[in-house]
Amino acid sequence: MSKRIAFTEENCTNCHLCSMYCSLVFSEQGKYEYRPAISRIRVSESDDQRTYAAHVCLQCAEPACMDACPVGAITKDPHTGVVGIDSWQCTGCESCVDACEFDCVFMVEDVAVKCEVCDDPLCVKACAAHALHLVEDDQVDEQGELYREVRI
Amino acid sequence: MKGWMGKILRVNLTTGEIVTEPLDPRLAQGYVGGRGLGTKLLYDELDINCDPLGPENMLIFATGPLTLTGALSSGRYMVVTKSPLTGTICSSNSGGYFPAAFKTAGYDVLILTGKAERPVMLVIDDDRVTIEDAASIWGMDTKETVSAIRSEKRKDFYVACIGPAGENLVRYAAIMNDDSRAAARSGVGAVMGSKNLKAVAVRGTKGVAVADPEVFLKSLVISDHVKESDLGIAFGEFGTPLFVDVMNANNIMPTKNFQYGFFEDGDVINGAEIIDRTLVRGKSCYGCSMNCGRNTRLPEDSKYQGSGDGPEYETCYSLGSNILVGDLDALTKMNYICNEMGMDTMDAGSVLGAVMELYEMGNITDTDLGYSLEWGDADGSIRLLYQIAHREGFGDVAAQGGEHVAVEYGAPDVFMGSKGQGFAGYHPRGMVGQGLLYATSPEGGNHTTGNTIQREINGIPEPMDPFTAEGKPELVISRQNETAFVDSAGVCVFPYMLMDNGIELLAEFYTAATGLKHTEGDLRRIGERIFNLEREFNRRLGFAKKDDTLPKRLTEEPHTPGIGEGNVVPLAEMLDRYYSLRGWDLDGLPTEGTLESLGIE
Repeated sequence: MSKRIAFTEENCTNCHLCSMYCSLVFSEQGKYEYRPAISRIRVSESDDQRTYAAHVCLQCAEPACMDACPVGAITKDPHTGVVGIDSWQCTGCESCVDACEFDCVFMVEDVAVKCEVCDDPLCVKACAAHALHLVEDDQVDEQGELYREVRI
Repeated sequence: MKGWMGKILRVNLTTGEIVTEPLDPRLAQGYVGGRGLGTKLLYDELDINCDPLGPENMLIFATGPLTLTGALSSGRYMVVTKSPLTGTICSSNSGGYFPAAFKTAGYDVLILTGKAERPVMLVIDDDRVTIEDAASIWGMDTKETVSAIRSEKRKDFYVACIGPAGENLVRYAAIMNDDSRAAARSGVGAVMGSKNLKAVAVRGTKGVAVADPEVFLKSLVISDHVKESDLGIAFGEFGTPLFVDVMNANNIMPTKNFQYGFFEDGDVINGAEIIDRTLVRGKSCYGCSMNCGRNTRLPEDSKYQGSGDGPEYETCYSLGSNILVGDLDALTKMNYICNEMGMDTMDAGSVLGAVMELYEMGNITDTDLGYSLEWGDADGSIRLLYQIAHREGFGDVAAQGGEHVAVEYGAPDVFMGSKGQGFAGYHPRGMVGQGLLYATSPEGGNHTTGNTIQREINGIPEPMDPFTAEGKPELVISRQNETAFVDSAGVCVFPYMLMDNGIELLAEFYTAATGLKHTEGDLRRIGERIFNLEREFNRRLGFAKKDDTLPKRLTEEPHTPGIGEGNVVPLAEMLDRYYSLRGWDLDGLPTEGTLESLGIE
């Protein structure tokens, strides 16, 4: 069973509040900053600006980022299913960034970062449009519609 | 200093000099940001008698300390300059994504001066700021410009730009950003065009630090409350065209160049019809959950084709009821054209209204236009809009603004505006406080320096007779001061307008972001300072009571059948009391004592 953030494109209004509030959580120690450039969730729009995507890690069953990491800095927790990056081991080679076909791994100050699913995710709370939900993977399977893959 | 980035970026387009300097904390605390800070910088530095379209004029982009914070609807910036439409100071407000992106590059303010020799664009990539050749995009419409810049190497940049209207110095040209957001009013796009500056593209990686994040966690709950209130739900569902029904029901939907307050085809151009016919989806600006934006596309079977944003309510009035176009497709097409050409839909509609009335009177003829232009003629209007943007034929005269056209063609009274700027979509004969507001606005007939609708029409927090002078000077002063602060803080007026305690909440956000303890009263005081500084700026240019006027149609012609029938705007009665409450003299000029008490030097 795996916890993750699910995204429902139809509800998204492209407001970026998820990304703003995520960055507040990951601000440098002692600082509280709205800084989208360090966020673990990023919103993008299609060229015609008619489709939006929140890029947030799906915690893949077989993570391509993990396979791509040359130093073994990326692991998948056997209990929670969450894919994590050990920032001390990360060499900043960006192999994982290239490997993720969903564009959900980001470089922040030469270290790869991604969503590792907070206990009480602020991005989900900030989403007034209800486009983000914290779900268990089996929940997604049952409801099916809850997550629709969007690639931009 | 939390909230602010603490930096001003100055670009001289004549010399190519680019410098960064610290933002003086005293200026920031006294004038906040956006409209206030921009006004203060202009007041201190501008050669006040300069030609608005000359190289000396300063074009200022300014965010506020709440831009890109958890304060509700925090995605805004202001463009402040000397207006080529009114000759006064002006500030034009826009949302979208560009304002937040600009702030992440590390600046609060961008000051543009001079004039580039050839068309250029300014590229701001964090600390790397360059002026690049823009020959290949000059002449493009605003959608093409944004796409051209964002393709290839600059996919993650956000863009503010002008279209052909700005290039051709149309006096009500807009600065457009992202997809169809506009700093629309007062001709700020013409000032940008006069500097040969086609676009500003920006990307950044910095963050906005706030003093007290707890308040902003609480704001998420408040945001949900606002969004789930009756008005919030209606706003999210219908967007601003929701107001078509409100205005029509109250006989204040300006119709046929303000001859009437009711448009019989209102239900063809309202929010519900947009949902039925053109809406693709709602959209938000950066950091806002209101979802009032309208992403639209014209149906395939329509005579008109295209896609884009809107129309917003103001356009439903200006290019709809005001010129008797009761056809959503035609109205939407005109809205797209204005956005693509980069010009204000409100003044475009105001000009069209005046031209149609002059045509009916016989003052403007087929020979002048090269075609006919009866009331409600959408295709003729479309033709004229393109001509205005390119200054072709009659468009060259119309590009000078509605007042210019009305004077030129011998009937000044058909221009429906104040200080040269056309009115927004609220008929003052049915809400006279709004008339006082238009007359005393520092930049003429706009709705962005305050709006009395919530009190006069919606009766919030308590009902008020909309037809009499009683209490109106007090109401207008209060709205003007509050709005001056809102416009300076970097937030959108909507959520704060929808709440009874909006300004109190804003004080809480301002305190939480900056760490500087401020009450609701402090905010009003700062707003009053900003409004007075604008007035003082205009005074130095010779503006006084003689310019605080309304057209005779509002003060002498009785209101047409429906609510408020027979009413006129008692401007003279309201004005003297307004000046006295403001601490201005009988000629409407701020006294030394008033300025001194507000800390204005």
